[in-house]
Amino acid sequence: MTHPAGPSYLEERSVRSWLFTRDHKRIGVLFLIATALMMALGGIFALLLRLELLTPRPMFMSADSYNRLFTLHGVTMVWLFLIPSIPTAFGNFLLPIMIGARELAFPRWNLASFYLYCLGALVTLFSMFLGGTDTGWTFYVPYSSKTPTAIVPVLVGVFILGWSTIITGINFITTVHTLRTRGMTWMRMPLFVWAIYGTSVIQVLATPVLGMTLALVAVDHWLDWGLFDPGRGGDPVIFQHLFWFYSHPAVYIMILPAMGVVSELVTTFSHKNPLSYLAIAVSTFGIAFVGFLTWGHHMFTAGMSTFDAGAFGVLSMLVAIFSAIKVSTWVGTMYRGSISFKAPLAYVFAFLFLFVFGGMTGVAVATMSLDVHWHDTYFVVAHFHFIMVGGSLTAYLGALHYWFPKITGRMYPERWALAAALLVFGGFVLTFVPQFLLGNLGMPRRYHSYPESMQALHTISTGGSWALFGGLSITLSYLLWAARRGRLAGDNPWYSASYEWYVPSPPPKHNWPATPCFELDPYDYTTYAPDPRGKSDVGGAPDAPGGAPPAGDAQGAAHG
Amino acid sequence: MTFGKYLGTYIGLLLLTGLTFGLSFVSVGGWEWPLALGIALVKAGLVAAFFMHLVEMSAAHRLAGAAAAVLLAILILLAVADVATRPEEELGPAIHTAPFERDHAARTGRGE
Amino acid sequence: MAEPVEHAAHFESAERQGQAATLGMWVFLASEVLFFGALFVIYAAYRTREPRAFAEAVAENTFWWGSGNTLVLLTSSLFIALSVHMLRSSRARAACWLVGATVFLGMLFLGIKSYEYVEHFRHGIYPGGQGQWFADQPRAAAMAAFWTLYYLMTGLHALHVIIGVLLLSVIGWCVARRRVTRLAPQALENGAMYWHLVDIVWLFLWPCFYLTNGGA
Repeated sequence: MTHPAGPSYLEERSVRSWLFTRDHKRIGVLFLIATALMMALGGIFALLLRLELLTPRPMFMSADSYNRLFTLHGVTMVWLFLIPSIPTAFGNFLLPIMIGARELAFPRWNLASFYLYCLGALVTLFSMFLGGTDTGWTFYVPYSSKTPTAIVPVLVGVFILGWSTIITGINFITTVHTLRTRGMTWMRMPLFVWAIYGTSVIQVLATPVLGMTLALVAVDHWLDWGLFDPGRGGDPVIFQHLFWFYSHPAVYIMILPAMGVVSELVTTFSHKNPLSYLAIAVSTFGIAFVGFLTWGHHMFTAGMSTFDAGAFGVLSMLVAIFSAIKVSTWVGTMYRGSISFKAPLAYVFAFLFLFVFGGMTGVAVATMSLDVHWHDTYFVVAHFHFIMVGGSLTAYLGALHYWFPKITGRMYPERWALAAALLVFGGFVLTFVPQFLLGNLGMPRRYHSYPESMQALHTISTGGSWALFGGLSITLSYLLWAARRGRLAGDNPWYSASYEWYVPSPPPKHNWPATPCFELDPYDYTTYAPDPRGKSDVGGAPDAPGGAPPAGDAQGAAHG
Repeated sequence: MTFGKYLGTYIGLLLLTGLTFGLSFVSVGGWEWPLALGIALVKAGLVAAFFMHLVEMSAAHRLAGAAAAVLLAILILLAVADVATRPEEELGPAIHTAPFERDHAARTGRGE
Repeated sequence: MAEPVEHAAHFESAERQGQAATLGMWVFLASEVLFFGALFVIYAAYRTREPRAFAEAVAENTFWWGSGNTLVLLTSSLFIALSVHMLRSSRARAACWLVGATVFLGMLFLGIKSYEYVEHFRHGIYPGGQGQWFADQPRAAAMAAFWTLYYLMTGLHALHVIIGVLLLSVIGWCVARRRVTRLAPQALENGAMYWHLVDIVWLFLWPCFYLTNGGA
């Protein structure tokens, strides 16, 4: 499909043109496919775990296999899916377009980052053929230094994945600093860019600590140097300090991009500017920074001193403030907006409910006096799944639907999408709400069996996992179908004012024919993109068919 | 940056190096670590500011360096605070291998 | 009037591309600070638990060689900084020689370090608390932690010196071949920054392992 600005980025079809591409959009698509595959894999592991937990007796898995499987599930979901997903797929695709650039700062490093991801994934999953490891995704010493399982490939694989994310982070940060188009100050960038930037800062500063820590465990395991061995002057709790110094900010790596997506979806589907752009932008950095100060709340029962426990308890309360600011701002944005209820917005509603619910349970477990009862129970498992699945995955699905027309030029089937979203939401609730109750009953995490009295709740949870799987499978099916057969979407099917909708769908290879100059704010719904149903009380000029922005802006007229 | 400034920075570094070197021969009581760390920080600062041209660069570069240093400081502080505020522990002075390790060594064929 | 310099299409100028390369390098160095920093965390924690044992171990270390290495690295830092200065002043030959001198000092550092390791092995000090030396120590467990950290931290640092030596050799060759010039100095500037980081890490390793001997 041609356009005055050049052929679409999808035009060239050879395998070579994909495997050696330096186009950020193609690399985004490659990452999208790869991370989606990893999500499916991690999901299958989860289904197997939940199937085993249908009854208290071992069904088809020994306790040892169960340990290896939940380790694999955690490693796959955290490092192969959640951490990369939104930034590498949607960040890569959209960041340059959103700031009026033609490419990322370092296109070749971007491709390198993708191949490092593939290599890391291969090495990590290769360990499966060696039986995997049974330490849990947290690799606590002293067991991880001693385990007879194939831990080293997993550690090496995650180490490689870490460098992939660091390179992506460096690329994004540099791009935002040096490639913003003329006239685009920081306060005129789309909020998704702020989110990706904040995420990249965390990635660059936190991941190296993880890399070193895992490398040390690998060295310890291979060479038996006893670095964390108390018999040789070591301290296993120090491992936990180092591990969680990364892994707590890591959860913000997983949620900040999701929040960036929500900011975009809320404004577009309310046809309204954010209640406070500044609040969302500043709270992004608030989360990024304060998120680094709270890691010890994972260690309340580890043998850490009570002084530190107290410090971390207090610090942990601070980070919730910024999340609350965001949620109130989003809700305030929707108030008196002109709501288009489409699948992406359905996911936003699911996100708001599940994230707030999960976030409040987070504040609860960050309270030491409560956590000593909940630590290592299903309550914690439910809490983090509420955030990671109910938060991050939900936003990922919202992003997938919202930017589907931008990426493919085609529209997904709306009714199927809404039905699938409902199934996903329902399945999620059935899977994880019982787990809060199980936690309160004392069900320990990472156990492959349990007392008979807990069977009912486990059964509901397993049933929920099937519904969740069903919803996700349906989603995957119609998206794959729509990518080829969906109706043509037009350039701006959502009548959004954000900058990525100024370029055609799908975008041309170099994004912009010339350096663009954006006269309007990315959320200026008063001047442009009125509600086509005529329901809103925001004014605006009628726009061209397909929702194209006022002509002249994308053509790079020389105004500054 | 002029040639002279590079040389001046180098001389400053040498002087500070000499200072820490000399201090290591003297007993300074509890001040040993603050002094050593403080001087090392000043030296690192000189290298970063002048050899690495941070003085000429924009805020973004300085922020990158500062953010890394601040976060590392927080990590070290809280980890050390943990160790320092725990109750007294009974750790044996000798290296010993625990039963698990002996079994593990036997199973894997790796001896001590 | 400077001759036009090639730059990538998505940058508006070669200067902007250069700024991006420099910023990218700084962000990378920030990540390296945290990478090494994790080891310093362990050192700080373990030393807090066993301050006297650590101080004794420091006193037993190869003090003079280690301190000599500090001078070697500081001087190499000066040389590489000057080579960037020379290149900026269009004196490519001088820049080239200075890179060569830096590489030479880097290799000298490695030589001294290797000698130190051999000395430690001769005394029966190996990582992981292995070796005959530990058998006679009253606080062997703490000593084991010290020496394991010593090998890990100085070893990782030496690995970075090796990488730096190789990197600067290639860059020096590129300067000689006029592939890196005053108008396209990025490779040399970034290589120099990497080397300075290696120097800065040593500035902290030196007191940790050689100087803080508790006044012995």
